[in-house]
Amino acid sequence: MSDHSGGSLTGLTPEAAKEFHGLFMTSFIGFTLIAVVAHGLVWAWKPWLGA
Amino acid sequence: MWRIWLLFDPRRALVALAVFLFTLALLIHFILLSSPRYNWIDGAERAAAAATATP
Repeated sequence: MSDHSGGSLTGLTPEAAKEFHGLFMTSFIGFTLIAVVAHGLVWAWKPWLGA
Repeated sequence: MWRIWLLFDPRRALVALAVFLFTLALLIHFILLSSPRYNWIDGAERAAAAATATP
């Protein structure tokens, strides 16, 4: 069985991997921003550290 | 960093991530609901009731 995967275990080409990674990172940053805002709102409502 | 998608199949990774994040969110929301301070549904009433109940 010849290994013609070129190092890719998922069958993605480097171009496809880069394209997906771009979209993934954008979504990740969006998710994180929403989470930061949500935590800020809850902190303003009732802080959870301190006495 | 993009090389990670040559190792992990994006579709499987997205499904796993979604399941994990949903479960974690469910867990945290129910933990908060179970605490008197952060119960946003009837926490206010319960706090008021507790205040009047103690002479």
